Parts: sequence; C-alpha cells; structure tokens
Amino acid sequence: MKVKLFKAYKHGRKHWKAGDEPTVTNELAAKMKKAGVLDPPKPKAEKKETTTTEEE
Amino acid sequence: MGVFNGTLLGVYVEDTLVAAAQDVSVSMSVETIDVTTKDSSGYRELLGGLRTASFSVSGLVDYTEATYESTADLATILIARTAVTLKFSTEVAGDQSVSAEAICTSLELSAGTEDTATYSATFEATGTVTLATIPTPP
Repeated sequence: MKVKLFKAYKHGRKHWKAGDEPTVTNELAAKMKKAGVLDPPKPKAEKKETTTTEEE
Repeated sequence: MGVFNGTLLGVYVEDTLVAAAQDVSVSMSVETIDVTTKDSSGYRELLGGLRTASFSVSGLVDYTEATYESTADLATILIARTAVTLKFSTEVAGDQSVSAEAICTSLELSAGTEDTATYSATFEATGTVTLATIPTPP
C-alpha cells in the first residue's frame, strides 16, 4: 500500500524523509503506523486570549 | 469468480515495492526422487524431493527512485551477495502472498537505440517459502 510519511523513517537500506510516499507491505505500514510516522502532526493549540473585564 | 488484474501483483524487496516493474513472476518446483523397483509393475514411482522457488521481476531502469526499490538498489543487493526478504503479493487484504529469503542471482540491464532502458532480475529462494494470507492494512 502507498503511504505518506509525516516523519523521516529508516528501514534497512531505505531512509525515507517526511513527505515521501513509498509503496510498502501492509506489515511495514503497520510498523510505521505504530511508530506514529503516518499520523499528520497535530495542529498547535491556539493560545487562549485572556480577556480582562473592567469592573465599574 | 476470484480472478483479478495482474497489475496488482508486485515484488516487494525488504517490504518495499520494486520500482517501474512491468512483469513479475514466481516459480515454485519440487524435484523428484525415483524409487522405482522391480516391484513397481513397470510404472515409475516417485517421492517428493527438494523444494525450490525463484522470483523474477523486469521493467524500466530507474536509478534515482527514492521511494521504491530502485535498479541501483537491486545492483547493491546482487553485489552484496546477501539474502533479502522477498514478497510476491497484491497487498490486498485476504489475497495470498508468497514470501521467502532470497539471493539475487542475476541482474541484466539493457538499452537499445531510441528505446527504453530495461532491467531483469532473478532471485533464488534460500530456506522456507511461506504462503500466507495478506493482513488488513492499518
């Protein structure tokens, strides 16, 4: 199956970088999934705006 | 009917699909041991002997393909003379695959004038040949 890597991954002679889309066996894809290589990076949590209410 | 398009079948070396392949094949055979005697009533009698398997892949030369197993990778494997894991598979869950450790015994590159450069590689299995059902992808 074709997979998209979101992190660099080394497997034997192959050293894939983030963004590569190799076609690999389902077994290797499962290992990559376990290693978190196939998961897109989580978007950074937005900073909560601190609102100050002025009391009269 | 469980027939399917042969394009789905590929050869995976160390879990990575061989690049730009056009034809792939696996050949399995069993040698026979002749145990015919005078008691065989004039018919040959055989026992199963040595089991062998070989894999072949041929296609277009691609030295630079980084995300697949390139022609340069195949040459590296041949020169290293070490066994690699080979899998003949569709990688469709539920289909059957054939896999084995194998040594690259030949690699031929050829290129005619005004024609594509092509490669042809053969791998001979060493040790057990495994037939398995392809697992579900993650």
